[in-house]
Amino acid sequence: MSPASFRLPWKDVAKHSFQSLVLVTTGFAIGLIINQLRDKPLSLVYESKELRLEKAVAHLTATKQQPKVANDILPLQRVTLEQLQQFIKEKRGLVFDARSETFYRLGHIPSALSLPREDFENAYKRFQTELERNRAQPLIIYCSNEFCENAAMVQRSLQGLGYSNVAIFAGGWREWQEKGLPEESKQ
Amino acid sequence: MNGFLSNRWVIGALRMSMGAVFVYAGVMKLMDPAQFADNIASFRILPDSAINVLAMGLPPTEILAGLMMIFGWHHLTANLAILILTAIFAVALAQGLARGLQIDCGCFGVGEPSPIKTWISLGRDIVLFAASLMIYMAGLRLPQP
Repeated sequence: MSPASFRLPWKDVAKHSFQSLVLVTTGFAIGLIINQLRDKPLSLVYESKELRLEKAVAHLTATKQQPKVANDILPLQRVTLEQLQQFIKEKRGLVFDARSETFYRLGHIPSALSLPREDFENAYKRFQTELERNRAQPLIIYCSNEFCENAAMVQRSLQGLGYSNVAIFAGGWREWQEKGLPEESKQ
Repeated sequence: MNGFLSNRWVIGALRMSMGAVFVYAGVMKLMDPAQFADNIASFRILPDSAINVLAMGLPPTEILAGLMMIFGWHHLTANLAILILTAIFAVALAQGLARGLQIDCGCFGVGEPSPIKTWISLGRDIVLFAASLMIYMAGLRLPQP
């Protein structure tokens, strides 16, 4: 059949369209089943990341009385790459990676701990005892790059939990990698 | 050039590559559905009641369609599904750009939004749409086994 004489076989297209619908329905059915088998299944109705984080912080503060900090009046503290390097070298406090656990495992700043925004409540509990020993110790949070929101969201949550000295490394993982600095990974 | 693009082997290789791309994309999204839901939400098109359902259903659909493309089982059906999906993604990305939204499409797993990434995603999506259309049209012309 030459291209010039080609006509769209609408019957076949209609058949493929119907079968595509079956394919998509099957895919969605599998997706719903997989979701139910997960440790933390998604709810049917979406909740924004801000709301999920607020709920996690509220849950943490509900179980234990935390010092109240008005997080809207705290300045958005930021550190540069050089300041972060100095901070790590002098072991002045803790560095947290606010990206998802998967990305943390693939590669992170040496000595940084994983405190993903997505799983904040569970991750926070791992460091709670150590953190509560000194609420004024400096903490630095980073995420992927200057566009990511996770570090700022985790910073606000920590401030809401009563930590007064939380800063952000805005350049994030991208700036660290671009400078060819040493990396750590966990498989 | 037209003969090259309608060659059975070329189309076969393109079909399998497209399949592999969609299997990869689906697996990456399946790893972190909550993040993918956030990515969908950043488009500000769908109501909250549809976002998570889409985040759960789309990755397995992509994997299924990708595998069908790779193994050649009802591949034209899978190809048509992919063609429609890429068209929807392109419209969604274009409206996001037009509205100046900070979007990370989450097309190939989790990431962070940036304006340049949105443009790259749109360009990549248009390429995938064109390749998918070419495979589908060639599939309709070629005699089916």
